[in-house]
Amino acid sequence: MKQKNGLGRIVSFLADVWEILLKDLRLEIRRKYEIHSVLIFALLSNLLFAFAIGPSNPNVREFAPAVLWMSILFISMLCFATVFVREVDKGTLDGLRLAPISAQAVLTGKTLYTFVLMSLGAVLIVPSSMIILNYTFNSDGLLVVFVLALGILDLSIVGSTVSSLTMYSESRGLMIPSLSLPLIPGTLIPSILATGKLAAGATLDAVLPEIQLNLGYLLLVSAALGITFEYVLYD
Amino acid sequence: MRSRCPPAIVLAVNILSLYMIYIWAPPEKLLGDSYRVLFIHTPSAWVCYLAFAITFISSILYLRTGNLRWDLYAASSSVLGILFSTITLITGSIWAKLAWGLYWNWDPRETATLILLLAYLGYVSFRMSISTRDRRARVSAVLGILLFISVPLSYFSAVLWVTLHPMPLLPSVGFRLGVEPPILLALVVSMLGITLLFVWMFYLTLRIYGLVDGVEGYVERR
Repeated sequence: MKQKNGLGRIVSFLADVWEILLKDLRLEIRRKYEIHSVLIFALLSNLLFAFAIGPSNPNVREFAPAVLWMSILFISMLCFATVFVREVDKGTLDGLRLAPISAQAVLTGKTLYTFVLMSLGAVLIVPSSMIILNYTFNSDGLLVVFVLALGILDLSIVGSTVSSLTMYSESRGLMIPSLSLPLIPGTLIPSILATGKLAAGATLDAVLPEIQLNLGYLLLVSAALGITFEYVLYD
Repeated sequence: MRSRCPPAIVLAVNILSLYMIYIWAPPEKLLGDSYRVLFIHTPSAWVCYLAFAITFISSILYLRTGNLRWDLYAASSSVLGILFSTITLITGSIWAKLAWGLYWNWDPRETATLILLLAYLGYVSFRMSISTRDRRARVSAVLGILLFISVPLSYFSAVLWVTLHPMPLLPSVGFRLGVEPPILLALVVSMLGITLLFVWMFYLTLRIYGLVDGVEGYVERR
């Protein structure tokens, strides 16, 4: 077999990631009920938070970034629950292990799948929370999208990892929130702070510390998983 | 195997430490006697970081070698880390009530320490939810490495965010404590006493986990 060079390896890795992502998205589109559940849950969680604070509360706009991220966090729990567990339930985990794909490509593909699913929820949550809680983002739209996407990507990588670990557990449903919630504040707190600043009209310079923290978190978790994920996937 | 830290030494150092904390060390100029809780709080915080660092290093060593002994080290130290982080939080809350008027102030350091405690409680319950020894050791090792991210987050939270908590010695204060020498000496002895207590308890926990592991291994072989 011909040995691949550096660029060839990267292209092959990206092709593998793409295959995993497409496989999961195809499954999702065929079943549909998961996307439906995520979208309905996204709207419901927004409404519940608005009720809890009280829509006529004069400080409701101050709570808006936290409410937004709590709703995203809620839908993330739904997404995490299925990422890897589905492979166990359907009996396809061994197929995934035997496929000529690296463990890192599997994790990256699953992370991107979670990211796409959560982003779909966020597309619904962000405008609905802006209407319900009566706030707007007075900053550059691209910057807002970047900050939200980075936070969701951080949540996705943590969630995919936790989902992969809990597929071996005998109490998967309970373990996902117990393990992911303590890992999440490292990215959730900077995301809430940055979103609050953006709602108040902050520029890139003002949210740079939070972006750096989230990028650092992403790099740290990715580096740890790049080395260790093989041990999770293969028995 | 005999204990490498005989209980008599642990007991002697801790009695000396208690004497220095409650009798020998003078009252603090501004805070009176209430500051003495810090002689338990600070060493407990150090020991909880030490315990979680042992879990982290043992997890790496397990993945490298596949030797189940490292898994026992990781499990034992995580349980003790939970114990000492609970003591840290309780003594910290007592101090917070005396100094700032409330048991819980949502200070970044105390919140980060609570998250650290919850993270490792999750680690222990995760271990309990997997019955196969090898699989539990392998997957828990990965989790033990990932969870260690919470430790620097807890330590540096006092530097990264606005906090009521005193700055850590490193990197912000650079070992300039600004306390009277007798208080510093009592703190050093208390650190030594609680560290030795941790070593002794680690040895005992390791033995208990070793026995449980032996029984599990026997059941698996049958």
